Parts: sequence; C-alpha cells; structure tokens
Amino acid sequence: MSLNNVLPFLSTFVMFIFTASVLQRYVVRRRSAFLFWGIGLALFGLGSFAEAYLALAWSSLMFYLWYLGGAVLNAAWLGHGTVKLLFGRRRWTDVLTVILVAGSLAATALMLATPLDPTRFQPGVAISEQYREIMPPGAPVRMTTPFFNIYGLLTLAGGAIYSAYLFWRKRVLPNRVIGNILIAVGALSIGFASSLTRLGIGQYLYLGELLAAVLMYAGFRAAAAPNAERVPASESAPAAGD
Amino acid sequence: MSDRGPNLRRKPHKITDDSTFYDRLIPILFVVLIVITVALIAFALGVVTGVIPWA
Repeated sequence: MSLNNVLPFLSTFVMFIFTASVLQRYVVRRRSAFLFWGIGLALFGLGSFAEAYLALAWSSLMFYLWYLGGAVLNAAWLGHGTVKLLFGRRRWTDVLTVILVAGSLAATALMLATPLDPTRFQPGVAISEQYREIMPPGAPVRMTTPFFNIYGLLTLAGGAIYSAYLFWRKRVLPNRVIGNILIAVGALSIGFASSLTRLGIGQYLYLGELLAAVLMYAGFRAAAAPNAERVPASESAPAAGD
Repeated sequence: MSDRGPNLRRKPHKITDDSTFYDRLIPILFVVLIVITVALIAFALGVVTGVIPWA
C-alpha cells in the first residue's frame, strides 16, 4: 500500500475525531458557529474517506462525495462557521447562510447531473490526478468550485488571522493567538494544495489534506484550552471577558 | 470550571512583555499568512475570470 493510499485514511481519522469534538460542543452550547464548522468538517472527512476509497476501487457515489465534500463545499461551510463566530446572528449573516445553503444544493444538483466516465478510472492512481478525465470537459459543477473556495479562503483563513490578530493586539489569551494561526495555516495548506491540483499537479493534495486536518485540529484544541486561572479576588489586574 | 471559593476570580492568561516570539515573529507570520491568502484568492479569481486556464 503506497503513501497515497494511507494519507487519506489518516486525514479521515483525524477529521472524524475533530468533527465529533465540534459537534459535541454544538450540542452543549448551541452556538451556530459550531454547527457550521461541524458540517464543514464532516464534508471534509467524507471527502477524505471517498478519496481513500477511490485510491482502491471505483464508485460513482464516492466520486460525487469526493468532489462535493472535498473540493467544492467544505471550505465554505467551515468559513461560514467563522463568520457566525465573529459576527453572530445579523441580517447579513442570515442572508449569507441562505446563499450558502442554496448554492450548496445547486452544486449538489449539478454534480448529480454530471455524467461520469468510469472507463477512464485507473485503480491505484490518486483521484486528484485523474478526475479531469472522468468528468466531462467544462462540467458546470467545476465552475462552482472557485466561488465556494474564495468564500472559504476569505472567511476561514482570513477570519482565523483576524481573530489571532485581535487577541495579539490586546496581548491576552496567547493560546487563542497560536490556535487561530494554526487554523489559518491549516486552511492555507489545503487551499494551496487544491490550487496546485487545479493546475494539474495533483500529487500533493493528500499531503495538503492531512496537514490541514492535523493543523486545524491542533489549532482548535489550543484555542479551546483553559485560558484563565483562578486567583484571589484581591489581585488588581482587571479580567478580560472571553 | 466551578468556583472553589468565594474570593476567587478568573484572571485570563496574558502575553508576556518583551517576548521576541510574540513581538517579532508573530507579526511577520501575520504578514506572510495575509500575503498567501490574498495570493490564493487572486488565483481563484483568475480561474473564475478565465485569466488562469483550467488544467
């Protein structure tokens, strides 16, 4: 079994643990940001799993899951969670939610309507290196990918950088500075690997996905770590709110 | 985290003063990350507008 067979399984494993952690927080705290992150992470994990499957055998369903979950939707849903975290529930964030859901449904419909050519599939070759032969040229669903990825990059990576900057500027909660930087680096890892794939260099996608999974999970754990200590009330330093 | 006494309060962790890591390396990292983010967004916009051809 080659490295390209193993890496997607590792990404899947990390992503499902990550997804469970985030969704558990949603169940406890009921903040919509955790729900959107959980959905984004689940899409990422499904995409990784489908990628691992397709390294061994063909399945139309797995191809749809890989392309939709891994290439089209996950970054945008993750980024939207960051938007909800930073800006809360406002009219314009609700409008963005509607656009995201509608766009996702449209992309799904386009994907399901895309005729695939399984005769072009080669077992043992990374799906990121052969998907263009399997999909018809100019498939409409491929045109949707940049829009979702732009939104995802701007909100996930940009939002994490902005959050890290806010805490750094206030010189508080260093764990959240580091955590958000790790999340940003993870998001940019997969963004960079995806961009290379679009240029026809698909052999680094698996590595980019694993890096993204590990770094974003590490960032999540760092940012969520205890960030305060109990001190006698007589100490004069003012408390900064969470 | 529950209170363990009536006279305790939460004191958030702070970034230490004169920290080379936080005062020099982190700002550089911010700039690098922003540049990479902008570059990737520009690449995606290039794909959308047809400036960058699809593989």
